[in-house]
Amino acid sequence: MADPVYGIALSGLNAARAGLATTSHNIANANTVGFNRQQVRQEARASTGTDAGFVGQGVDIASVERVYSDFINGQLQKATSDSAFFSAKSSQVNQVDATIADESTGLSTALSNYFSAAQTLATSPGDLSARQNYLSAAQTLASRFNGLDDVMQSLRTSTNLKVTDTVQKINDATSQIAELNERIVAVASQNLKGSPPNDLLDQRDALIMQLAEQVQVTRVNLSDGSVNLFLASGTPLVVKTSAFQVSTQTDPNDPENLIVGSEMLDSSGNTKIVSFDGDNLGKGALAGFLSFRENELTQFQNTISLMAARVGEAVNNIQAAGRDLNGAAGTDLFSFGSGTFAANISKVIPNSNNSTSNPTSISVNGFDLSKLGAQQYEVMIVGGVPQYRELGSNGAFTPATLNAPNYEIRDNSNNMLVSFGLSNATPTDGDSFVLSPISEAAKNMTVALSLPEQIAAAGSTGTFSVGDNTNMLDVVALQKQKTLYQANGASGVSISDGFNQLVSKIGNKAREFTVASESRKAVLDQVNQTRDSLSGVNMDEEAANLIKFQQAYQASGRVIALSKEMFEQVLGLF
Amino acid sequence: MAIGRISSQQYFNLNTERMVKQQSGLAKIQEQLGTSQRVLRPSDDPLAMATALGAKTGSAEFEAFNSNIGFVNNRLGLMDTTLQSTSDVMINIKAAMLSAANSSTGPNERAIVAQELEGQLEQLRGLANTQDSNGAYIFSGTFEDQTPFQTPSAGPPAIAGTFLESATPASVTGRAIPITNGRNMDLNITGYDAFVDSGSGRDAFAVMRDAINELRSPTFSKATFDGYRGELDAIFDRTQLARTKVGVRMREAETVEQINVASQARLENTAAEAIGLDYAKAISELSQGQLQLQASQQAFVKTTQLSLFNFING
Repeated sequence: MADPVYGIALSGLNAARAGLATTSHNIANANTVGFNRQQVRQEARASTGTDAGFVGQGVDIASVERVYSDFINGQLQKATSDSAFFSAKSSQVNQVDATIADESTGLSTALSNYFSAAQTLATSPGDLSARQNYLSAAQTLASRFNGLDDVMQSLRTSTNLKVTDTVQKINDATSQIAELNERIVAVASQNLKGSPPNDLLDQRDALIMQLAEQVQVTRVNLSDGSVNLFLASGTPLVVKTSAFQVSTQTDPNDPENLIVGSEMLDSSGNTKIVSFDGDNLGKGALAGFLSFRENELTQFQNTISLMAARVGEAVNNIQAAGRDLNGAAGTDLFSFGSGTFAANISKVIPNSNNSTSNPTSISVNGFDLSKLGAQQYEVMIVGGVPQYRELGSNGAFTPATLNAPNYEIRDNSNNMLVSFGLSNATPTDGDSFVLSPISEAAKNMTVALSLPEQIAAAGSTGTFSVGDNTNMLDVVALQKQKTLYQANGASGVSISDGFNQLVSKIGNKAREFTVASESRKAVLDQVNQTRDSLSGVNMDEEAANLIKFQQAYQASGRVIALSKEMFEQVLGLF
Repeated sequence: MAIGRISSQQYFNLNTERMVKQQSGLAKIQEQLGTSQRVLRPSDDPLAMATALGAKTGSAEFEAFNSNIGFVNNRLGLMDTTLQSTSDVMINIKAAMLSAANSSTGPNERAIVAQELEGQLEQLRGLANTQDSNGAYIFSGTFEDQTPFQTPSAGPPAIAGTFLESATPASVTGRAIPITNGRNMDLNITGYDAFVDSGSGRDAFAVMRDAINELRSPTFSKATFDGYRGELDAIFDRTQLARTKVGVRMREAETVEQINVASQARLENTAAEAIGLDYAKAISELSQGQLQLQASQQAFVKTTQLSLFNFING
């Protein structure tokens, strides 16, 4: 019988080798994202019973394990989604924040320059250079509105691009996770001692973390080692080895928007997209981008457009009430297109699923800009008549008031906000439309007059005289008039104040999201610290381990040499 | 933060993040110093930004008001000097007419006075038809492109030489010019106010023409001539009254301008206080930030040189 010391020493050598290998692995992966340091778990071999008692048999390598906490990982996943959501929102709102109050791109200076030019013209209505100055100020104002709308529009485009990019990242991650699920299940079933495939698990956790950055997911660990992932709404993303693709397509309610959804097969076997509601996605970058686009961006863009519409309408009305330098009745200073004012600045998009055999269209025929806000409406045909609610709300639909031949959307004090007509007396139930009363004004605003003489500075009563400024005084007065936001009996605000309110609202939003983003980032950093404290590689510690296992190896080697010596001594007796 | 075990990566991250944060803080202060504004974007301080925008709009309004007052001052100043010259001419007219009214004056002397008055009549008409630098007639009210008192002529178009023939005098007004919030200054001192008898509706030029004709008449009547003198005296009183009105408005414009300047300064100050930069504070923050960053960098370099691997002999 061989001396058991050899076996014991050999097991020690093996254990020390495994320790050295694991330490080297840790050192090599010190900078690998998502790597959890590994430890060799050693176990003393069951000892052999003798008359003298139990004699030890050496050491076994029970397993190599990750230093890892499910709990911390879950926290990290949540913090990652939270942080990505607010960071996405804040990055988009910050772009508006940077342009809205800027002297060269904002509206404030252009508005006050316009009204100053009106004052100068009121002082010298017969002076052509004062008239030219006023016309130029009007042009600057119109192009400033165009520019702001352009900023918003390109932000919409870039948000859509980011949504597409995010969806791409989601699909990349889910298909890799499904693949890893497959490998992990296969490896785990072959593994003799049930040791975990640490590095595959690390890779999968890192991918899930990347996924969580894009969209909030619920993780369910299965006993075979695979994980299932679901969206906050319950839609599956990964089930065992299958990944469900997320797709984008043009919004049937708005060709300028992309909707995101999961592909499903309908009853006839065609692929269709079940779209995600931004508010049901929870957190993550995707929800952040969708939420910014659906809430803040649309509101900012429409508010700017409302200002453009109100200034344009009010100034055009004043023009029409006066006489130009030739004594002729004034015509529109601002133009919004070739159709009627209401048609030019409104937009109605029928849902792409509306009836084609019995088509219906909606035309906006009028509105009260002194009462309208930034909201858009969703109009749906119910029982043959249109009902409406604010777009984005989940509230009940209100029947539109019939004021033949038009239907009216009214405020709480029963004042008309928007008046629209249906092209069809018997529209199909369920047909729906998105009605934006003023969304196109800022984009379409131009100056219609080219000659300074055409400005109607003179009033329309009495004998015409070139020095008459009574009409221009009305333009001057417009600056302070409370002509906006008078719905529900409110006293309203002036156009300048309305714009300053928007600046303050954008500033507050940007600040809110920046603060939220920073605080979520701080939470994420904190959780990351906790994870790193537990699972990260410390080089000094690994260096110490290296020395420890080296010494263990040397010692076991010494034991073998020693027992050989002892064996030879015994042999030498013969 | 209680730190027990710390991973090497974590140590690097903590240090680099701290330095990045310090650097972005410094960049912000540098941006503030470069623009001399504390609030660069609405989100830096939404209330301050809205306050500043409101104050700047208000300030621009007062600037426009004061530019309007500049116009008002020019116009009133020109009216004042014109009416001053008018008074001087009128004093001469009065003196000449007084000498002609003397009972010892004979037809020859009357003819000389008539000749003198003829010249003064045109001088007076010239003053009443004064134009500003843009060619606008200052006593035409809003009909500033029309000569207020044309020379009567026989040829077509028939011009009677009355005030602003194309309009009825009552419809001639000046225009209201905004000089401050809620106050428009009326510029309606017209030829009607300064050169026309409100009772008879006759202007100084028609009366003088009659007086000259009377002086040249072989059947000169002192009573009739004195009647014209009385009529002219009444018109001259209106000229004086008009000049007083101009003076009152000039004083008001001056007062309002001073108030506007003060209001504008107050608004500029409000805007500056809301979003402007406190240089002393910013510069001290800058040097403090630089010091902190330097300290972090030195500490990082020193501590990362420490490693147990340095002591394992190869």
